[in-house]
Amino acid sequence: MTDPASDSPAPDLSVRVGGLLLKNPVLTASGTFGYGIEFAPFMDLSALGGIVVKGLSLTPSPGNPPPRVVETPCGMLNAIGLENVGVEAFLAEKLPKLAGVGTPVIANIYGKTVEDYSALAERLEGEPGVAALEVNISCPNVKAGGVAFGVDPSAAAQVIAKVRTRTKKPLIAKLSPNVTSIALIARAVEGAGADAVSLINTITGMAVDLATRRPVLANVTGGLSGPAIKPVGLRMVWEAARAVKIPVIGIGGIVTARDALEYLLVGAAAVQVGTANFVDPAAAFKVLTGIEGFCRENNIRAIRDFIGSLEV
Amino acid sequence: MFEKRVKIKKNEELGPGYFRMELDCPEIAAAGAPGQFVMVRVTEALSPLLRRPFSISDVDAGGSIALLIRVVGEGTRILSEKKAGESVDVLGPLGKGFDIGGLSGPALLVGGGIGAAPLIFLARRLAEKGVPGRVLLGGRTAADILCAPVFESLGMEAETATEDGSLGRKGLVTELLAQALTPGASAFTVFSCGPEGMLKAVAGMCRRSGAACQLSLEAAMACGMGACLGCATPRSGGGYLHVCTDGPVVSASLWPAG
Repeated sequence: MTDPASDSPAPDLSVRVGGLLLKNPVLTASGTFGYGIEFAPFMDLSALGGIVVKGLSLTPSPGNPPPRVVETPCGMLNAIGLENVGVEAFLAEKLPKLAGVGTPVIANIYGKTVEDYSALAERLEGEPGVAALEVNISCPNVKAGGVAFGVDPSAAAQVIAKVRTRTKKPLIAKLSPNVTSIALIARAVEGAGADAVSLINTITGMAVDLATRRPVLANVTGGLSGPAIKPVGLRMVWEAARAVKIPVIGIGGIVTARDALEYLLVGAAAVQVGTANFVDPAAAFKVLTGIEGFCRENNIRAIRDFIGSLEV
Repeated sequence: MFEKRVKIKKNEELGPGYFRMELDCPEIAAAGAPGQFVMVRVTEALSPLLRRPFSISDVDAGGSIALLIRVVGEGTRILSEKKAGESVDVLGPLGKGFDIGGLSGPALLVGGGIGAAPLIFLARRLAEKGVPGRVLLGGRTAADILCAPVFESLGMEAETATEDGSLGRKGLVTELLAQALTPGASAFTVFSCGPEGMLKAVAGMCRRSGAACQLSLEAAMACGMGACLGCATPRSGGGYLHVCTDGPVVSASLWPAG
């Protein structure tokens, strides 16, 4: 009994994303995979195309009061509020544990001011363990900074231009879907020197409790993620990929390999698996296996040939 | 930590809205400690999306773990309707359990409603260690008092309190605790699980009487393993604890009592 597919050479899954050569297009999304070390005892992280760590700020941040999460149909709302250990503790305590992890570690950075972003980029510049920066200008759950930069093209460009002056590492701008024109924002950060864009971050949402007549989340509003948002993500990645020349990383509701392949089809050069990691710690690994199987079944020798092959 | 599709051996209704599910899960039965929990996927479909956390309520030598389930929403309703022979995806054991390593003196277990769940497994391990103990169980009505005979079969005297007086003392379980804590209370270690208001009261009473106290906390969570940071609860002195990795069992001194 032979499987004809297994005789064919392994598909080339490697992709280039703004100066990063990834062995495959599957990454984990910031805020859904901890600092990677939470998963390392159970998973071979080296299989992944890369990992994006929890958003880092200059100083430790306790995050928002609870309740912080609530399930919604085919998804969840979160208002974590970018709780993180701060960049110094990350470098001292977390990053060393990722040495030799065998996959690029991408640091996601978040600031309240342009100067915060700039200082974070500068602090990470000399760290060989950080392969690239993902600049979060799209968190909906913090009062200052974050999404305030991500919904205004000139503010977005200002942050990216400043970070650009402080880093030679590949610079990825993580974009918010809570905008009228994603193309406009994508072009603005491209013009400011971003090497790639990643999208979508969560969509602003809300849940209320009829019995108590109160919001479910202490933050009142939160960010919607999970399979519910995939159609929105696909549309925005498609629009962004047509608007800019730099690579687009697709994020939003990816649970299975089919979801990931849909993002690649509409033009994403790579994808990030997010909320699915919460449901299944092996989700990203299963997505990767499924992509490889799809390539074999469809005689796709290099995933690059499949990316952006949508016929409209 | 194991992630595995396991067979349901039994799913029996304990009373209106309460179920006891037995899962064939030798890895978790062997590795799990009292107070630890598992995350159970209730469906292969995309909704309800997230796993549900359950304390490991008991283990047996045959490699089973038992969960107590109270039907509170769609996820627990789906689980409650599953039959023996069906399977569910389980992740665990997760979190920090009760610390019984250096236990000196008797244990006093205080459970409210479904909070009896982790205390059963705890009672089993205490019995194996030869640590004497008593259990106080509270609920709104007799139907909310779970598994009192199981505690008794493990050698623990069980006292009950119900708000409507349908079983045991009429009143709150904390009234039983107040009686138990009076003289020489500091000799006890209190282990408690139940609704937040009850836990705050238990923590406050233990602090005032000088009794050591460990609480099993509950919070909405997405992952159960420290990645989502959704299960924050205030920590004494500022900041937050994460129920999944700092707990679910924490020393009462870490948790701000009411």
